[in-house]
This record gives sequence, C-alpha cells and structure tokens, in this order.
Amino acid sequence: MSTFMPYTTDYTNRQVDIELLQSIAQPVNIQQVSISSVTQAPKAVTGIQKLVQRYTSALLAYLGTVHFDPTYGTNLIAAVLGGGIQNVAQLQAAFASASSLAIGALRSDDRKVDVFGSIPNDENISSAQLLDQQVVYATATVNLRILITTLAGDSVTFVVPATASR
Amino acid sequence: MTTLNEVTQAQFDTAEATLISLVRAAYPSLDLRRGTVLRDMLIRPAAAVFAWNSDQLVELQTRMSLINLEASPTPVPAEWANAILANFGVTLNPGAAATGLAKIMVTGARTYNLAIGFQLATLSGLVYQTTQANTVKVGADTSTGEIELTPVGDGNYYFILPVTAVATGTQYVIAQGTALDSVTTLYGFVSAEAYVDFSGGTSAETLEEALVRLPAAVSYRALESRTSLDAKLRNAFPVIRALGVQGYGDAAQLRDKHNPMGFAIGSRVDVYARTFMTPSTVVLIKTATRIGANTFQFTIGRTEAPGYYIIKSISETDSSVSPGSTGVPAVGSYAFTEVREADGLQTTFHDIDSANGMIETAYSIYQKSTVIVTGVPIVANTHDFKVEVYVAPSLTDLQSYVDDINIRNLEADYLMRCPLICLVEVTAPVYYKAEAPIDVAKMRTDVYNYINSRNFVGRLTRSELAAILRDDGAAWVDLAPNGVILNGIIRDAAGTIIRLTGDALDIQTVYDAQKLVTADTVVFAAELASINIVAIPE
Repeated sequence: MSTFMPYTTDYTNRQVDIELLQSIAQPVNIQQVSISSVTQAPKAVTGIQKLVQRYTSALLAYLGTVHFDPTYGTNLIAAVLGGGIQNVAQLQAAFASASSLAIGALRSDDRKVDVFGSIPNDENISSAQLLDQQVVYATATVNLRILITTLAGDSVTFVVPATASR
Repeated sequence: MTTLNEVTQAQFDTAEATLISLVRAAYPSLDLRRGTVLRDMLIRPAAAVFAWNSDQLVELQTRMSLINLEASPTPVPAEWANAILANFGVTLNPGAAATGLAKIMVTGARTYNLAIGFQLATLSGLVYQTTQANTVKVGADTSTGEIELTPVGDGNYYFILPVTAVATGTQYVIAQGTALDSVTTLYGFVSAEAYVDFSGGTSAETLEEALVRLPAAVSYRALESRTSLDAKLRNAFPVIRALGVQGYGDAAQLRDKHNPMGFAIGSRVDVYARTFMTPSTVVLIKTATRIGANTFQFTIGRTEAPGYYIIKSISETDSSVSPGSTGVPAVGSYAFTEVREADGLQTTFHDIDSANGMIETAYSIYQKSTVIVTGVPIVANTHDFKVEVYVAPSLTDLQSYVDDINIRNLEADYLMRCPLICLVEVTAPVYYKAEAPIDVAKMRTDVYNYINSRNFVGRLTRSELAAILRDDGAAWVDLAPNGVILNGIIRDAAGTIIRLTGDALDIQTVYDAQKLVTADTVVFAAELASINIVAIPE
C-alpha cells in the first residue's frame, strides 16, 4: 500500500544535521524508523527526515533532565514507564500533551530566523497526529504510529541522507 | 568555579548564544536548532565548557590586576592580591591578634597546669587563649615562667594569665575590667576579667590601604630619604602603620646641633614609628620602696618598657582602673610624678647630648624614669604596684634593625622613638529620626577606627567626626560649642601634659619643637571607652 514520494540528493540551501534515526532506504510515505547509534560512517540529513529526528528527540527526551534546557522534552516516556498509562485513552491524552510540548520546543528556535536562518517548509512542522498505537506486553514495547505534517503539505521531496565527509 | 555544575543558567545561555553565532557564521549549513544532533552533541557541551572558561577568564583578568581586585564587588582572597604584590616585594599586612592579661579568680590554693589553648571568652563571644603551657601555684618560681597564685583574703585566689585573641582584628581590643568566662573547664573557677586594656589587635590590611602605601613600598629601600626609609622599615616591620621622620633641617631634630655654634650639621635622624593602631599598653609589676609617709618610689628601666610614652595608671596589683580611661592618670590610679633621664649612653654610638638627655632620649630605648607614687595607705617598706604604660611595640627591634652593622647608614645616626600620642576623647550628641534608628555601637567603632587610622596629620577636627556620624545615619550632629566635645592630651618630651580642645585638635597650636611637639611627631589615638555617643531622638 506504500506509495513512493519524489526524492533528491540536492542539498543546496539546506541546513544539515547528523543522522540520528536509521536511514530510510526507500522513500515511501509511511516509514518505520528507530533510533540508531551514530555509526562510524555518519550521514548528513536534512529535509523532513531531519524534522522527524528533531521531533522524535523532543518527544522522547525527559522533561527537566536536559542540563541548562529545563523546558526541553516531555513527560511521555516517564508516564509510560511509571505505569501511569492504563489504557489507550490515557496514552492518547499523554501523547497529545507531549506532542504539543515537543512541537513548541521546535518552533521556539524555528522562529529565531535571525539566529538560525530561515528553514524550508518541509522542515517546518505543522502538526503531529497519533494514528495508531500498539502495546506489546511480551516485549514491553509500545509502538506509536505518528503522522507528521509540515507546512509543505503533500509537496514533499525526500532528501536522501548523504555520507558526511570527514 | 571549579566544575561545570557551577556554571549558571545565565552564563550558559550567553555562552551558547555566542557559540551558535560563531559556528553559524563560519558554517552556515549546520543546523543548530533545538533537537538537532549537532546542537546536543556539538554546541551544548562546548557551551558549558565555554561558559566555564569565560568565568575563569574573568577571574584571571581580575586576579591579574590590583585595580580590578579593588573594584571587585565581592571580597577577594588576600592571596590573590599577595600574588601580585609579591612581584614588588610587598604583601598585605595580615593584621595582628590582640594580647592582654586576664585576671582569673579561683576558689583554692592548688596547682593548676594550664595547657596551650586554654580559652576564655567575653560575654559577646570574643575568644582568647593561652599560647603556651602555664603552671600556676602558690610560691611559683616566676623566673622559670611559673605564675603566682595570690590570695585575696576571702579564701579565694587569683592569678594573672597572658592570653591572645584567637583571631586578628580591632574588635578583640577589650577594656580593662571586661568580664570573661572560662571556655575551657577550670576546677574552682570563680570569675575572670581583663586585667589590662588589651592591645595590639589590628585588622588585616585592605587592598585599598595597600595601594596607598604601594608607591613607597616599591620605591628604593634604604635608610636615606623619607620614602626609601619608609619602604625599608615597613618591609622589615609590617607592624608599622606610619612613620614620622625628623632629619636635617627639621625643627624637632635637636641632635644634629651638637656644636658650639648650634647649627645643624645633618646626619642625625629621629624616626617616630607608629607600630600600633589602637593605643597599646603593657603592664609592669613594680616593687616600690617606701620613701616617706604614704609615698613610694620605683624605677622603670630602659629595657622594661622600652621607649614608653606615658604612664596610664599605677594601682594595686589586684585592681582595675577605670576601663579605657584616657585621663592621665586614669581614674582609679594613684597620684604619681615621674622624672625621666637618659640611660645607656655609654654603650651606644648614637649622638645624644647627656646635658639634654631627658629630651633627646625621650620615648626612645635610651630613657629610664624614676616614679614617685603618693597617697598610698601602706606602711610596709616595700609594696608591689601594677603599672600600665602606653608603648610602641617592637621599638627595641626597630632600633636594633637600624643599628645593624649590615643595614645602618654609614653616614647617619638613626634613633627610633615612640610617637607622641595625642589621646583623644570624644563626646558627641547625635540626633536621629525615630523612624530611622541608629546603631550607636557602629558609630563608636567607626569614630574609634577613624581616629586610630590618622597618622602624622597634625589636626583632627569635629567636622571630620561629624561626617562619619552622618554617614552612619545621624539626622544631624550638634556642632554648637556644647555639642560635640573633642579633647586631647599630649605629654611633651619635658613631661608637661598639654591639653587640647575645641573645634579641632590642632598640633600647630601647641607646637614646641624643643620639646618634640610638632605635626610630624604626634599621632592621634583613642580608646573605645573614650568615644561617647549620645543618641537623641528628634
């Protein structure tokens, strides 16, 4: 059911970050990615994958634990691990609250154009919606399926991660 | 700041903003927004270290400059200033601990072995301790350092114990009679009090004070000019707070006119060393001989209280005179007269005219005196007295230093003297508004410290003191004739007591160079008990 989206390797006028999530080998509109360790061959990422990384980082960071940035992060993981999520409704509520905090954290810097420069629409988050969730008790795993929408809407061109020069 | 955990949020934010600006300027393609790996792994740790380094840099800049140290809003450690001052062979004077004698009353005639560190304290918490082990007993062998335990007639006994303040500072200079308590347990302890006015306690020199003396301190050091003399002696004797020098051409230099024509030939220098901040006293226990009805006589040898300035009081050995009184003699003292004369001239190379010995040796280590005490209701042939005298500490050491064969000026003759001390008494009515109460104790201390910080200035005025009182919150200070009263007494080299009063204690008004009274030989000093502040609500 996957549909391909256009992709490019053109980094012109792009600001790059280092790859944090596993590379998307084949650009499709629905992807499952997980956090990888920084490999010995780190890649530069930009575009929507960079946005996904930033959003994921902000969503999963523990609020108040980042030294000198006490407002960064959310309470989502703490709530899950703390047993505070008893049902799907509570998970959705916790996600809504956490996602709002994560998006706020991203936008706080996105607005500082004079400091960080302007960013393309496909890196500018519009919303994040929890589409589905799955709790696997056997492995104590929670899977979240999140739809991230940018200001670019459907006009997204995936920028393929490139191996960074050393 | 020694760890990154001590970096403040504000310091970090500043450092992070600076780093982001610098990195973005050089590498505009790097995304450094929140949530990026680069921000978390490159910028944030670097910003913490940058902030720490910046703080270290600020501290380094401060520590490299005496001006910056002086301007620092927070107190800086003395070793920082000393690290710079040491480049010039100068260090901050660390201050001195007050010393004195405590009179301790006990219930029985037993032998006490007091260890080093035996402590007494005032009711306000000032602590004093012994600096050596002491044995106290009846029939003590005082030649070996033992302390006599003396009966007082009611079954109790007392002994006199030398003690030293546990810290430096003028606040440890307590008045005679101040109650003390035994911090260290002492069996049979009844009571204790200050046997004498404590002295010698000075606060550590501030950087501001050091900067004032720095030009002289870093100058050429030698027994030549006033500046080089000041530098050399202060370097060798940090206890010196000021020097008054009388040399060739100076009015109070009498020793360079020893020729039939009476003209000055130079090469004679009299140095008046203020080696104390607050008036410093020592106590002598003198055995006097009865020379008439109710009259006793004793001698103060030239080594007993070298160069002493004036006798403050003569009293019974177990009594206290009025605390801090600067009257001469102090309230509670026997009446006495004294005659001073030169002593030890045969063994010194110093040019002193024996015909004018009393004046030319006055307040130097070459004076001795004969004292006659009157009105003593004792019929015994001999009697012990407690004699308290004002002195300039370290005068003997100073004289030995300038006489040292390796140090002395080969072309001049230096004689060290205790300055003539104008003992000041102040009574000040101070008005204040009820809604703004004043701290009388602070006013007393501030006036006391101000007077004792004056050196060879020649003049002390009521308006100077009024300004201090106003700074301390007084609504106004009464400077009418019956308002602030300023009194001072000076003993000239001939033994005459000179009394000063009025708007100003002006040494020029009693100038007498032949008796060593000049602005360059007299300093002002006051005891705390002589500062009386009368607070009056408006």
